[in-house]
Amino acid sequence: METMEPVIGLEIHAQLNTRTKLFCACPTEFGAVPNTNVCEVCTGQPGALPRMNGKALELAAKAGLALGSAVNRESLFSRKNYFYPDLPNGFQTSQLDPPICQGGSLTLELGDGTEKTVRLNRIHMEDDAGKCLHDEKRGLSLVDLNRAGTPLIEIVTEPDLSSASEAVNFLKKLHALLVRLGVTKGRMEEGEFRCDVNISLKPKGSPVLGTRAEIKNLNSFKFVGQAIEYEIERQTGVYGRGGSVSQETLHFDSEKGETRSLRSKEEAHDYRYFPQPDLPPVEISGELLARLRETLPPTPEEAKKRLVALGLKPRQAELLLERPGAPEYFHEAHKIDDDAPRIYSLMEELFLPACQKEGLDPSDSLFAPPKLAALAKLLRDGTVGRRKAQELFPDFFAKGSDPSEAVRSGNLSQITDPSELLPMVEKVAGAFEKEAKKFLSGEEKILSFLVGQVMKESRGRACPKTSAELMKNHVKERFAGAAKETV
Amino acid sequence: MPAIDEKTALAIAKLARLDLREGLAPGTEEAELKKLVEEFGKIVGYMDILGEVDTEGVEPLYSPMVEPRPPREDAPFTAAAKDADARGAKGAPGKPESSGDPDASFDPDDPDSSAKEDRARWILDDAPMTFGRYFTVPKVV
Repeated sequence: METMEPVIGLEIHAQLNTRTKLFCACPTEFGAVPNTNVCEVCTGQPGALPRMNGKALELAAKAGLALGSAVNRESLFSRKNYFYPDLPNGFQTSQLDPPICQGGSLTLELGDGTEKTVRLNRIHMEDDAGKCLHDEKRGLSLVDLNRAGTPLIEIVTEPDLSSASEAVNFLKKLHALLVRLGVTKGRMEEGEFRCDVNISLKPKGSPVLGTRAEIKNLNSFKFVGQAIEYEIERQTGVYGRGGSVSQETLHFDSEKGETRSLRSKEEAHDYRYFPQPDLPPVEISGELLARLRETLPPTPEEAKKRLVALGLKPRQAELLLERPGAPEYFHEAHKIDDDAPRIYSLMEELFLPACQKEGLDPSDSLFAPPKLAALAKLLRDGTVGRRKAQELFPDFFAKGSDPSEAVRSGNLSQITDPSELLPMVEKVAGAFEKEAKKFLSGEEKILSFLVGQVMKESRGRACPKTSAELMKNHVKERFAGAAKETV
Repeated sequence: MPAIDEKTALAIAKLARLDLREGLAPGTEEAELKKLVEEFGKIVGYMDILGEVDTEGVEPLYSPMVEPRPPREDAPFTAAAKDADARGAKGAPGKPESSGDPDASFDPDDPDSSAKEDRARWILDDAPMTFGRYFTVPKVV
């Protein structure tokens, strides 16, 4: 038998991060008491008219802009007709032609260091259905319409993926991007990001696609991977036995780890799409598109370049970009104090570990960027030493105090002024004459002991470097003659 | 005129969850079905008049609405907004429909919530069959 290779395309549903539904002002909260967030529109009452949620439109367009799609200035909602108890209108309001976005792509880094660009076919808006519970005992289906009308985007890829790991890699990258953009909250356990997989096998190198099967509604990266692995094996087996794969819709049973047929091609839906007459065409203005484009965060590549241009090492930029909220925090602090390496090291050594410990997003910390910039300045001036900064930081971080303010009022600053340090140096040299003389006779290590005594005398505030210089000179001046005598 | 044959009529009836044979006396089914298919064909044929209009070079019209309808603000219903709505004092297009606390929406656990406040309750009460706060239908799977 010829070697077969998988051809995989994905359809991703992401719940848009809005407060209200797509066509009515009911809240989209998850887990509310059944049928409380419903109204005439989302329960399909006769005569109720839908009205488009502007935020949903913006988020859908933003997703398209970030993925390099062409955003249609005018798109159209259509009715996708089918009957099911969780669909009160008897149709889903979706987009057929033209959708809000067409084309686009997302580039993946593959394990072997190469890249693969996965093309997108389209992104369209649609509303979600409600939920059904099936009560075996009473022979009833219970319907909760809280979710009915929740805004979704469906992102449809071209069949450019060729393995389970590529598909999972793609989904993870897409998920991270959409969450970063604020397009979706992406909570998969609540069904806010879910995926259908289209998969077929074809002889290696052949341009002709095989018959595809569609696996519906996978809501975890793990299940996507498992379902694809299983389906590749199943279809390989079918061809190996000389059979043919039939076009069908499959359900993935995550407990058994296998796919099961939901319906065959003959039972496939005939949706009879037609333009939704209750909604005017969706228009998006050039101004709005321009405004949305401005809110797009830079791509990781651009963001890295920007950080390196400010004076970070490439590796440092990467580390910063790995942490959500950290690059934004860095840029804010950098606006106030442009000592990029110092701001970076303060973040890396003190600020980010503290955030992580508290489970805080950098943007939520009381220790706001200007405060970190102030601390950077104090360190550069030598007003506060490194060790002192480490010692004081937990308190600054917890209280969100301004370090320069704290230093001014709390008398915490490092003493660098020789005239202030000298009396202490003299006192120490007098008290430890024996040790001072040892230093003069060449035992240089003992200098750190003497400086330590100065630190003690100053209660930790003496600048060690200045103290050491002063101590050396003072000891030479004071004991040089005496040292010669003892030699 | 597109031919509506029996097969097409039955397929469409199935999509609409209609049983064309239901309630027909045994033996009359075939004749009745034939009549229905004929009538269906006539209705669709009548609509075909529209096909006679020359639309060459005319842009498709998807909506007769001439005035643009600006999208809605993403603000949940509140009691205040509902009252304003009821008084017909709806905000200008593009303005938020709600004012005040957006989270002050109906509390289903609050026994003092009047039916007037509770659109959801109205709708549930109108349903042919409910169980607790669920709509119910004969089991579908």
